[in-house]
Amino acid sequence: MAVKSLIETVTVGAGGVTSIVFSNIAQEAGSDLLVVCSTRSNAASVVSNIRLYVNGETGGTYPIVYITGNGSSVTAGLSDYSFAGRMNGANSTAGTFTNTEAFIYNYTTTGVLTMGINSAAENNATEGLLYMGVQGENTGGPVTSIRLQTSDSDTIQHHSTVSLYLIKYD
Amino acid sequence: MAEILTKLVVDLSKGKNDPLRVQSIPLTADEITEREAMAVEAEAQRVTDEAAAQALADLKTSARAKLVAGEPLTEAEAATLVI
Repeated sequence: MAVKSLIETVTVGAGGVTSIVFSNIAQEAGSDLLVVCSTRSNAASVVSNIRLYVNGETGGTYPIVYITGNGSSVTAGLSDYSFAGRMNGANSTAGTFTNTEAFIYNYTTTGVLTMGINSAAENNATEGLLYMGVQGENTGGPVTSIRLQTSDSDTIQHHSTVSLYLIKYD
Repeated sequence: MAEILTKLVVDLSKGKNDPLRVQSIPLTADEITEREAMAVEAEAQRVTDEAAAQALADLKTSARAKLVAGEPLTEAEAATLVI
């Protein structure tokens, strides 16, 4: 049986932030981490991207299998990037946010880390936005820190929340 | 006055009631440089993705038109219709 427990939730204050970092993550062998986001950015677009880095990385791209779509088309493919999903941008309906779940499987492993991502934007318009992906990432060691980072020159906006959960298996 | 960019840092080694557990910290010069590089990379990726999507859409349009007209398709056009 999987047991999900909240490690921490943070809410972005007025003015926004460029990134959200969880550091000194306790190690629980055989467990997963789950990052749950409700985010909006000030990018001058309907949707923008958010990246996820671990262990103090300052860049890098990773192989991703993804499917993404909007109100008019759906695309599936392979890419090299570091997505953790989407965020509503400033051109989306006011007050709407994107819900994202990023699973980091077996995060205490020293091998290649697998992340599973589901991200769907609320827009209250005809254009729905979806991103789903799986990426492999060679972290060089157990995950001790996670950084969610805007992908462009935008910021994560006020009232956005990010929660980190531990998923343990009996 | 220039905007001060900040990050939200949660130090999980600190206790729940420790004021240092969650801090808003200004970006360092290196982090600002990294952010600027990411913006350049993001724009390049966006251009690449848009070009690829447009090329695929063009191939599909051409393939459909040739099918309707009974003309032979190129390998690339056929690949958009048959997996």
